Amino acid sequence: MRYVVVGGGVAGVAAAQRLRALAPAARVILIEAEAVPHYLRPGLIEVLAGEKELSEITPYPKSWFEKQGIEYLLGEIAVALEPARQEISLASGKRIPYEKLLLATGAEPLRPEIPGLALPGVFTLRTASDAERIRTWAAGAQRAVVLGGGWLGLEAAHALRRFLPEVVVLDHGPWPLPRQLDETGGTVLAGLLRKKGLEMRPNAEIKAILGKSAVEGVQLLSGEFIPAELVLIAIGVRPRTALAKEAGIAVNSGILVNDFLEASVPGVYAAGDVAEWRGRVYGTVRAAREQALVAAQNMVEPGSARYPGTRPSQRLKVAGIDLLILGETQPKGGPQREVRRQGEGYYVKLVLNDEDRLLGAIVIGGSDLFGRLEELFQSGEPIPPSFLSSD
Amino acid sequence: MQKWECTVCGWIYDPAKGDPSQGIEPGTAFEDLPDDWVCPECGAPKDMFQPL
Ligand SMILES: Cc1cc2nc3c(=O)[nH]c(=O)nc-3n(C[C@H](O)[C@H](O)[C@H](O)COP(=O)(O)OP(=O)(O)OC[C@H]3O[C@@H](n4cnc5c(N)ncnc54)[C@H](O)[C@@H]3O)c2cc1C
Ligand SMILES: [Zn+2]
Repeated sequence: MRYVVVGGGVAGVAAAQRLRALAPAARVILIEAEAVPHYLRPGLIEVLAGEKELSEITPYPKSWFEKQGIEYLLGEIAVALEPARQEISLASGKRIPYEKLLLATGAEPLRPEIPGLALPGVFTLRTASDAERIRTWAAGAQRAVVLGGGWLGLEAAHALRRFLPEVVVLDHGPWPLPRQLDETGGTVLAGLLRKKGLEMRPNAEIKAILGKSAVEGVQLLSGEFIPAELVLIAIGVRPRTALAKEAGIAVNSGILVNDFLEASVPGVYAAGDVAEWRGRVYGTVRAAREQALVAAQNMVEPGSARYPGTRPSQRLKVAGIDLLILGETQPKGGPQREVRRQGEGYYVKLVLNDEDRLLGAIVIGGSDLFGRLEELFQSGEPIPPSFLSSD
Repeated sequence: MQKWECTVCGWIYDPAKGDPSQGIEPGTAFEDLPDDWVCPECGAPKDMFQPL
């Protein structure tokens, strides 16, 4: 048997390892476009901040893969897939035949449609070389603008702020993390981020990035000009589906997969940030790994494992601030009610049913409560009255 | 029991909770995790953890 995996991110690497373990006699070939061995993408935030080297987030050297019997093609870009011939073509001209194929090509940063994107000093953050190029450029900068107040934008802004005196976060929404937080939560978080030295600019619509030979700043629709020598775009990602689409594989937002992580063409599977399962593209390491392991299982033994979905992580850390987000955070009316406590840099909102059982919660800046609330959420026991009144 | 922290993302392995997402029962010491166990949040292998 000959298994080929395209993409050596967390999904591709987990799948290759699992394929190797399940099918010791098979050939396992892992194709990765980047020239460096697999690293842990979440660690790029600390690489950007200058607190870690790439080697410190690289779990295994290239030789480790070879010792495992995984053929690791580094620096090789898959440019075409021909399902009828069961073959992948690489940019280098090589052709790689497969019997079972996993597409684990991940996602790439979105770019807004505005003028000035090609100016030197405009970046996105996805790869180790992105992180290194941003650091090099930032050495000559005073002020950075980060476009996007989502999780990655805030993390990146916080990392930049560790060595730049001024970092402005521009977001078109009214508060940060709008998908996770309600208005009060967003306001409390924005306050904490300001304390950490970030300039938070909500409700900002960007019109253009301006500069002559390099970035000089951004122009807002309101007419305001914000000077900056570095602009980092963090407005979201989109699944890298080109290879699949051109091969006639069904694609919506991501590559469409069934519960076995199989794509619309026999023998082809997808996992991770590139895959869309039941309408969902997760975009997390946890889901990428879980999907990859199920896909590998099915590649070896078709139909042997169903992907049950991945539970979203409840604890988030953003820019060093701990957040807990559980279940339903907006009461749906009826017998549901909410209890709030709020202080300086502190916000707790509990959504309860008529028996005081916890349906959901948002906690910011109160990590001492996290463990207890998670337990109560899982056990379904009523919240003790003392818990609701104590401070 | 000793807790361990991931040096890459800060996730904490608490033996009292185990890691149900990878089939690890509550009460499993870090030392007893299988070699192919990794940090559920970032994918770091065991040797990238340190005791808390
Ligand atoms: C800075 C940063 C921090 C993050 N932090 C977290 C976090 O703390 N927690 C979390 O859950 N998620 C985090 N994420 C998201 C997380 O990294 C992704 O969900 C995860 O990497 C998805 O894994 P993947 O293997 O599907 O895709 P990717 O990691 O994107 O890997 C895909 C790989 O495929 C390769 N590839 C693509 N096309 C081709 C081709 N044609 N030929 C050959 N190779 C190709 C790419 O080079 C890439 O290495 C973070 C993301 C970033 C950018
Ligand atoms: Zn980790």
